[in-house]
Amino acid sequence: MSPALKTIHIHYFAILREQRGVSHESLQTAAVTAKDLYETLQKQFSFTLSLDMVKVAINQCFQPMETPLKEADHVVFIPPVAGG
Amino acid sequence: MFELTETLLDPEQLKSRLTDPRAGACVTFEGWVRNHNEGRQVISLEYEAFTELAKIEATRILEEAKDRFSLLQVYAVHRTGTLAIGDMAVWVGVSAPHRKEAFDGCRYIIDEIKHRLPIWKKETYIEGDSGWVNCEHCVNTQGHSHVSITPELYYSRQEQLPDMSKSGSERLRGSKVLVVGAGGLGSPVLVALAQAGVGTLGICDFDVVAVSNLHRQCLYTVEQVGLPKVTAAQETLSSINPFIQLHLHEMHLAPDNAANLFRQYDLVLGCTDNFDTQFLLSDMALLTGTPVIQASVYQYEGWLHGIFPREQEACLRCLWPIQPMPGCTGVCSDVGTLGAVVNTLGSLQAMEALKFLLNMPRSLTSDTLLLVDLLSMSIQTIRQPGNDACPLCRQHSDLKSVDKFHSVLRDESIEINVEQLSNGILIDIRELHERHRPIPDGCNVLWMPLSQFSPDALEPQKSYILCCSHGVRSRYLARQLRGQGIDAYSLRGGLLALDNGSTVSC
Repeated sequence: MSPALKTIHIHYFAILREQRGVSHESLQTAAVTAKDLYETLQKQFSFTLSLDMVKVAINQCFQPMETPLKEADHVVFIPPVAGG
Repeated sequence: MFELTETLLDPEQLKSRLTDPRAGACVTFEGWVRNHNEGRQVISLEYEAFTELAKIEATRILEEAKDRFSLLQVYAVHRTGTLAIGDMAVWVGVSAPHRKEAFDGCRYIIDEIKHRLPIWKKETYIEGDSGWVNCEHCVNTQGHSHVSITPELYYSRQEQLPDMSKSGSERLRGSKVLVVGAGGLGSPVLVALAQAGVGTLGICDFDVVAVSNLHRQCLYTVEQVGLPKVTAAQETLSSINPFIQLHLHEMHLAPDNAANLFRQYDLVLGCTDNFDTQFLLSDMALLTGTPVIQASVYQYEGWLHGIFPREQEACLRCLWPIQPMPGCTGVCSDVGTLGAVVNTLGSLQAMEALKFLLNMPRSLTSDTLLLVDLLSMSIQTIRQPGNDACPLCRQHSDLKSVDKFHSVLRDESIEINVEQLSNGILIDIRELHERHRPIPDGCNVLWMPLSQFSPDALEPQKSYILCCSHGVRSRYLARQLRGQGIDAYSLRGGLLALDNGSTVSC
């Protein structure tokens, strides 16, 4: 049986927003952890940044990538930013 | 070396201070109160000075003159209070081995005193009225010289604010803030802090004003293109607020000079465009105890990040234990940038700095990061708990170990010049779309784009020279490879260096 789908609200920041083409979206995913979700999205949208360069905030708090996702979580993927 | 006095000046007595057995020349200058100014007949004059600042600035001028013109003795006095026509308002004297230095040095001092000292005069006219005349140092009022510019009037509106008042202005006047990077973010930061009256503002930048800066860097004008940014910023900021001290640091901030600079300031604002400096500033905050507030932008977004060592929760290495690769998320010149974006982020950064200096509750703390998105007009506060595995701040019992993070930066031997290309196997790490610039003929070169680079293909007993367009990515990769025991070098200046008249033999 396939894992249950969850609705996750995603915010892409900076270069990820640019590569995804939108800053916010909500989607149904079977991803268990934030890492799974990023890797799925990375494949789908050809994100150039490797997993170790991207940070994730879940419900307004930075969390390890291995953190399990729950229904209706707000996830922000944050790459480093250096412009000034 | 410098005095402000309310009593009459005695030139003979002052001249005796210039005596020096090595001196072959002595030049003195006396400025007198004349009976007219801009067509109006003046009967008396009153000078008022911002004493503390005037003394500091005058001492700097005299030191500069001594240095620049090899003067032996220097002395200057400026009157304050009420003066009559014919009274001496200012006296400058120098002694030097030869007359040229003495003339030039004396001229320099009086010009700079007129230009830089916060001293105002109030003229009383024969018709009985009077008016404050700002000294040259103050804003050029283009003929509208009867303008009163006093600190009281200057700060009167901000002092109406709750939580600010006169004591707030006083507090800011006693504050010292260093701004690293006087570009897109640094411009609005410097303007806002100067306007608010931060008493000492340090400006650290090594760049010159370029035409492509003007669309977003609000400190600079077309006339200033080509000037060092610190000089141009000084011109603008001293016109915006004549009551502050500006300290110029025209240099690259590096691990070996940063700590000393940090210790001179209460707060450092990071307004730079590269990871090297951002991580250096974060590390230095922990090393020196001076807090740092940084901002960065990407197109229409940006973030604010603070390191407040006394509240120590987290540092930049808690988030990124390994410093991100230069250019991995683009640089302004490639991804684009806009004045309204950097001005907004810079103003937010300045606002947090003012809250810190005024001891007001801040939005930015050691355990938060502010994400700003100007397209959707949102500011999100993200909590950033400390990372127990942080290689820096969780092992801060020995802060000297900060050095180890920058030892690689100091290792100049990692970069080689074009003349040394024959010392190893050249690897072009540019991506496919960048390869329109050819490698010089005869070079035996491997192509391994950075995005697909695999160290497994390299042999430990051989030497490799990496090259990219500008030499930034190749330097980063060479450092990484060194860490893996591979004898790697980076071509200094990248392939562009080959275009600058260098000849290559491979």
